[in-house]
Amino acid sequence: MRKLFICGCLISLSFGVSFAGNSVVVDVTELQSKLDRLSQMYGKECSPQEFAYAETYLETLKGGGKTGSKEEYIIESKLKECGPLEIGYVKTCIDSYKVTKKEEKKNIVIRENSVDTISYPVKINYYLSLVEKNIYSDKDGDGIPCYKEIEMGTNPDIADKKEEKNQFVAVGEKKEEKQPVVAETKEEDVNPLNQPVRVHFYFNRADIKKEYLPYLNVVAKFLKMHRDVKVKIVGYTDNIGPKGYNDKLAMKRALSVKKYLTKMGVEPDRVVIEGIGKDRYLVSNDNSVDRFTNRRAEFYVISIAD
Amino acid sequence: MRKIILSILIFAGISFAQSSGITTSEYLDQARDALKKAYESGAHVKAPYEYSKASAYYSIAKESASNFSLDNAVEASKKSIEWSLKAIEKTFKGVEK
Repeated sequence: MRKLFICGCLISLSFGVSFAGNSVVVDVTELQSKLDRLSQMYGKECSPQEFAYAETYLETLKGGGKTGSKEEYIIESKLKECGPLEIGYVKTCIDSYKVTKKEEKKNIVIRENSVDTISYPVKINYYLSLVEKNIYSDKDGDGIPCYKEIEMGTNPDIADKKEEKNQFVAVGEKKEEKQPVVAETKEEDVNPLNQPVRVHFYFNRADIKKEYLPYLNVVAKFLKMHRDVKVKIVGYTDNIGPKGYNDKLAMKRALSVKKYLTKMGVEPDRVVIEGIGKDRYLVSNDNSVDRFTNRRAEFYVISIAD
Repeated sequence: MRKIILSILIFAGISFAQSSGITTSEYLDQARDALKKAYESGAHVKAPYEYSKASAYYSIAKESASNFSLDNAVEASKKSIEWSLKAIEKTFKGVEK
């Protein structure tokens, strides 16, 4: 009996030692950076379920087996010289008191013996791979991957019509030819530049009205996604006023649109501006509504690289 | 002798259960109920991210409970309930806070 007891003790001890010696070290930094990268590529929107699972398991793993986040703070205080029994100790003796949040370490390494340390990274990698797959997937079958649809502001679950390549003017063929895309497009097209992009202005003003900003945002997103597309913005005026002044005003209108697009992240060299002024009216200038229609800035696609 | 040890163990177990208040299994039950309510309210469609977070935490709670790490199971259950409530809230509000 005693021999059996001693043997049991020895076996259990050896198990304990061997298990403690082979502690698993997991570097979470790589997983975290992968998750961050996928988050920037709209992983949360394209694949919410898998993203949530990956994020939760990672949070739990980072917590060292405990769930929830942990924040650390550094308290720095400087004391003046003063007597221990001085009245108003806190006010007079503390020179400065500063609380700062401790910065997270760049490499998060977890050393654990539990099974979770081994199984969680596998699960996280599995879910992250699913997220990545869903980001590039085309759920609605319109040929546009999910992340691009979200960038463009369209619904990834509803099919959009594919872009027609021949709507653009190819480089080298007819570079100078300007085609008003407005006239030859249909309403269902995904490309925002294929829709009638016109910004109208108040009389003698060049600032963009608020109601056009959402549409310009879509155009800016499209231009940021398609780096090979260049646009030309042409400003127009109505028939009131001298020609020289109207030419300048038309240029100002085109410039204000360019400035907004540049502010939204479009490279300035991809946006060319021109001021036409008192010319090429859309409608007659008989009444105020028609004149408002003519006071505009329009977009033209001028080149697409191969 | 055996009877005495057994009675002491039972007494200790009962007193521990009484002192801890809510048990792990009760937390798990509550988390499951909250998740069920979120599902019934349509959160899995309208708030898939929040619902999936709740579901993931519930899975972790179950795994932790099966590994006898009861503290982690309780924490994960609480998180699961929290995310279930967020999912329900988003479902009825329609927008993210």
